[in-house]
Amino acid sequence: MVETIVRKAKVVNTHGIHARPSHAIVSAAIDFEATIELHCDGRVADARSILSVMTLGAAHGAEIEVHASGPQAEQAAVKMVEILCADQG
Amino acid sequence: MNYVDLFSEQTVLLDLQVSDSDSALSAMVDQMASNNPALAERKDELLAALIAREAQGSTGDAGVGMPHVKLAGITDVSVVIGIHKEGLDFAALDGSLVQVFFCVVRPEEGAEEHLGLLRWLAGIAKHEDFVSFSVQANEAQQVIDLLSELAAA
Repeated sequence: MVETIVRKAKVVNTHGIHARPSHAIVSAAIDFEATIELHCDGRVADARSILSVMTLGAAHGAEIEVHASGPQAEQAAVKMVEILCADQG
Repeated sequence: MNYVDLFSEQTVLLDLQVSDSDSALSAMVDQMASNNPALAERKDELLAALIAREAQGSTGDAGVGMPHVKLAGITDVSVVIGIHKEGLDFAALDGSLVQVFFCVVRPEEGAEEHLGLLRWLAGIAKHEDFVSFSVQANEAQQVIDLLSELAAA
């Protein structure tokens, strides 16, 4: 069974996860072979798809769980948390 | 707010006859300006903002682009849907050509509602049939009906 790494992050970005942070997430996610999901308030998004990430509608302060599995899962999860915790305007 | 109400037949460009994404944005800005007098004098500013915004990171994905900016001094959200049958290079991260554009201009205030609108549009856009149905539409109302159907799905 493939181990899933779970990390939590709180959205720091003042305007939430709109298109620009979504782009940053996807740009980073596609560099990893790991499967990366973002869970927020019962919704699940594929971190490789901007449209999927934007459907989270994650606002400032929202709590997101990063679920990563497969190759480099740990590094992928850490990178996602780093981006989610950055205020990119 | 019922987001479908933002769309009317005047907000749909069924068949963009352009060959690059900047021209597509320009056509959508022209349409927005003809729908909303508050934007008529600010077309150049709006187009430049949209192009600059996309240069920071493409909003294209899975055949859909969602170029959007905020603009000081306006009070209402403006939207235009632009459809390009063959698809245009919009520097999408997934490498897809963009066939359907949702162009959104919003006031400086109302970030929360804007996030809600983008989430709503993205939910419709990632439906597997959205792009293929959109490019087959012969009338603007068919596109609006599609939004209503997929929003309810």
